[in-house]
Amino acid sequence: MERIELLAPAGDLERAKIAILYGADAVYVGGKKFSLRARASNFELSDLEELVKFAKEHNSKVYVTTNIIAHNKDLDGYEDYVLELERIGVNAIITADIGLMSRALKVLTKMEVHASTQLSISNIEAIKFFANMGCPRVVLARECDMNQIYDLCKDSPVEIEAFIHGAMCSSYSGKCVLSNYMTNRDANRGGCAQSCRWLYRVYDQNQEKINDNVFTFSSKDLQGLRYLPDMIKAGVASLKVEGRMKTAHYLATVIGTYRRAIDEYYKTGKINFEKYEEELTKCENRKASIGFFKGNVSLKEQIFDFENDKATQEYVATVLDYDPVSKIAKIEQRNYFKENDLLEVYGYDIDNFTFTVSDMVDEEGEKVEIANNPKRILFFKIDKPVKKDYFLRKVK
Amino acid sequence: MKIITTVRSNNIETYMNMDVDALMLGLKNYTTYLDYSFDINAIRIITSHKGNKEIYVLVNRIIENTEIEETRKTLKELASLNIDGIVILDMGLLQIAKEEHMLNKIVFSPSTYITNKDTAAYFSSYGIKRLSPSREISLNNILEIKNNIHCEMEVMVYGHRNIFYSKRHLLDLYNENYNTDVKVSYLKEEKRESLFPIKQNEQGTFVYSEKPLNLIKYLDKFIENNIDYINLESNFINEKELSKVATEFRNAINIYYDKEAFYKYINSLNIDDSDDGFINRDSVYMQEEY
Repeated sequence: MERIELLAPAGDLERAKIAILYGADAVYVGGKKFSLRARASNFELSDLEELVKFAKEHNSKVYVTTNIIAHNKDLDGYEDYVLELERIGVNAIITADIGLMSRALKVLTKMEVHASTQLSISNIEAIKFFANMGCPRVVLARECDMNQIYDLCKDSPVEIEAFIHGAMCSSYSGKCVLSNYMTNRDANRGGCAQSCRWLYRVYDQNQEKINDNVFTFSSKDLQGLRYLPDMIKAGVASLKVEGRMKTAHYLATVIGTYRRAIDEYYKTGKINFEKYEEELTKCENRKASIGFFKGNVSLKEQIFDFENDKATQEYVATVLDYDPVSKIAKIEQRNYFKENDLLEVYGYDIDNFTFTVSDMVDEEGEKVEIANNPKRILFFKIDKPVKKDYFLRKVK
Repeated sequence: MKIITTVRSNNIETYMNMDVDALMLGLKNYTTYLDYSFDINAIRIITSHKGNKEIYVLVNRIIENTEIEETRKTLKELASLNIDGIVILDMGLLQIAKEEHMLNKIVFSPSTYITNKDTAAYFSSYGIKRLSPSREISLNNILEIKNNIHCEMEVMVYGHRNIFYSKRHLLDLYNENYNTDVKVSYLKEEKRESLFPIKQNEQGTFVYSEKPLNLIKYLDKFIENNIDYINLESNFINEKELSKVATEFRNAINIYYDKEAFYKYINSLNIDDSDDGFINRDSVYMQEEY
């Protein structure tokens, strides 16, 4: 059986490269058109071309989402767009609209067409429907439990991709237009206003307010780390992480963690879940749960208090460069820290280690006691070697 | 043009007496959101007395993998009854219908997915009897779709639209969280005035549009463009009101070719408590449009 693919989201070229460096076997991104995350999409064709080249150098793949549910006016230019993606070497498009899907399947010769989670594919017959259309992979609905995933993988004629981590819709994906009705923003074309995250009050059949208890649709994020062995044993082809709007540090932490967990499982047959769960707490997270893996959700999977989990360590800087002779690291500050703070280094090819900040200077060589200007470039010594795109966190 | 409505109670005689051409019946365990569903035996009995009414059965929910083989048996049993069609939502059931050679009985109504002419054309050429497009597209979009398909088309013209469908039992979880036992019928977002009807049953949680849709003022366009069926959704509408609305649509259809009388009639109707959805507007989605 082929090794499971770790599939990472990315909102721009920089984050896509970070995801690949931190171990993604594939990244999925959106272009300027046809993509649900219209506000997060920063990929021009030239960016995609550069990303495809970078991905190939790192044995990784690139998928592009064209997952809007199109209206008539959105159909124009689609064939040209997907042919251009095919020309530059994109490996697959992820599509939710049957009309766009059939257009793509008519013109493409190499690039794959994957059926999106927006189609709420929940049973073997739906998988066969898309297999017969010509899709070599489907993305399952997040409402499938683990037993169902096992059965579907066993019987599926095509590859199965399943979510393992990230935000979840409260509704069946693709079946919610709350945003359309509340804000005129089309949830299925990239304009979702996230009405499911707002606060509501409840009323009775006479339209009288019942009480002041807040009603929410809001779901906790999925964190399926403990189901990783099951996903591998079931034969899932690709583990998908949600989060094209997420930061580079978040991606590095989540992808890096799942990468290590997957590799550990293949090497030893076991996973040190506590270690990796602790690592996942080091980036900003909504509260997390196991979603539908054990069946329909309980109270544990819903959010009522709206407090996000605070990261146990605060991301403070990114490494830009390092001189192995002088051992001076050049960093770009992101959050507040100061001299004598204990920082942890998190990198894609090292075990985490800590050091104390000392002799920090700015670009003019002026001593800096307190780093409190985001994006400021600073320098200090780190005895152990570090590399570009390592992250520094403040140990609390 | 025919009028079809959903049956939301077991007062089947009331619906049989309405001035509609077709009825959609809920099927136990397979229908989302209707207040009442029938079992197959009851449907068998109803079809034996249907007279000139067409009877459709709603199998309009997402089917889990553990249920799919049982659903196949159910579809086959339904197809053997004297019904005119089966309304489905899950694409897996299209696959089953194809394998079991019953596409000619299938009305495909996947709520949000049929939004453009290419998608509609694909399903039309798949061999289905009829399709129903999304309620969140404009009139022009609807008419372009109709002009691009060979199968029949059904357009929802009246009633509360389902705008959210979840597997989660959100009302139960709400009560569990607060240790209450309240019966919630509407939700109000804290910064808006609208009250959105909400229901929960075994199939999940469903939220609806604040007001019922009423597209009677666009009936001329639907008739001119040969829309085959117009759908009056009965959810939250009492039977007396539904019957009145059915009669209004019927009267309008009957006098359509007397244009003066038609428009005079249409304009005399009071539809202030309804809205016309997205018929005249397109939703936005690019940041510069917000």
